Amino acid sequence: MSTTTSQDVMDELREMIAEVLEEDPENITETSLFVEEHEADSLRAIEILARIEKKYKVEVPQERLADMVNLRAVYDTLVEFSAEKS
Amino acid sequence: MMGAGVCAITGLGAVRDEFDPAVHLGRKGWRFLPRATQAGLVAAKLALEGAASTDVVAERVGVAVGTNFAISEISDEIDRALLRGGLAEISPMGCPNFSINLPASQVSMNHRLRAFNITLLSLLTAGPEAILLGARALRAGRADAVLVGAIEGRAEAGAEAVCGPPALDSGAAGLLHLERLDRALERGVQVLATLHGGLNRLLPVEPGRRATSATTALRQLTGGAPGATQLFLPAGGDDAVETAARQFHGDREGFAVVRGAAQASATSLLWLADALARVPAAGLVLAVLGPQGHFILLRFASEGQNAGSTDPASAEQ
Repeated sequence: MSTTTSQDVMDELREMIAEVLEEDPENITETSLFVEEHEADSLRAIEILARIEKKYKVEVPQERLADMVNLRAVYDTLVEFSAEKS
Repeated sequence: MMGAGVCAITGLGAVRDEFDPAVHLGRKGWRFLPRATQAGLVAAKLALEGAASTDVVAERVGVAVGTNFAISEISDEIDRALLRGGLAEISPMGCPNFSINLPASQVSMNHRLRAFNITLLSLLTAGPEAILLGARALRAGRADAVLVGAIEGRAEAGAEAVCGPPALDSGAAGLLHLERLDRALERGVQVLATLHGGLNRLLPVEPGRRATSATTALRQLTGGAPGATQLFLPAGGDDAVETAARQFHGDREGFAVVRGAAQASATSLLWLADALARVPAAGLVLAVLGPQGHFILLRFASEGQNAGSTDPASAEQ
């Protein structure tokens, strides 16, 4: 991610999550909750995880799904596991 | 006189290739579903709305759907994804659609219909077979209403021998809302037509016996006096059954044959959806023959008409 800013990554994640949750990207804030505010279910959560793993070439344990409740948490998780990988 | 077993068609939804799911299903909840399933959901919504189903308890509504190719396209996509990159290439959201009963299940899930949920697969006949199954379920008290019909996708390569040239680019669905006639009249909803009887037969292979069996079935169902007969055959036709049906119908007007099923099991359902508005006074027989000799007959009348059977009280023969 060295040539990509953190804001770029945040925007990419927002677009990706918006597509999975069938929301307009502007409705996905860093803190809006996927389940409570965007009607996410477990299948959509796994889809988000699968897309992140595929795009960023990381492996995130499924038990971390429960923590990935909003865009900020997804970003932080990605940063954590990208750092581990490098 | 309408017997206790007569079913009323109180709603219908017929959807072909060109439809916009967003118009009927809203902004969310359908984008990750195959086109065929989207068609099924639109047809279900139209049928339920037409039947003013809000005063029918959803837990007492059953779903029976026929399909031949509803998941062919998604199965092909999953196969290609696996070949391309293994399991990681498969979308978790797309994966459940691999199951042939998912289109019907999605209808039940979306509308919380819980009496039962069944998917039938008989080639070309599964749609009308679902109607017959639904009528039986009503008669047995398994449900207060049923959504029955067919949901289809684009036919697989190689299906042309049975279906003929495909006429479906993406998805089609024909679903009827059926309930007992006495219940429909009590609810005060419009009755589009009535279902008076049906038969499910497996015809012999030998042409002579096949023709006799077809004739016997028609006589059992109609008592010898069909108003109109619409016969659907596989693409290659079936001389024995067609000849027998023509002879049974005699010189009366209203006999028509369709060879091939461009929309597979939904072909006859889509035709029926258009025809319900003009069921003749003497009734209508819908006869569908599959390539393995599976023969489904259904007898309809417009509301208030006796369909001409010697046994009007029977919804199953």
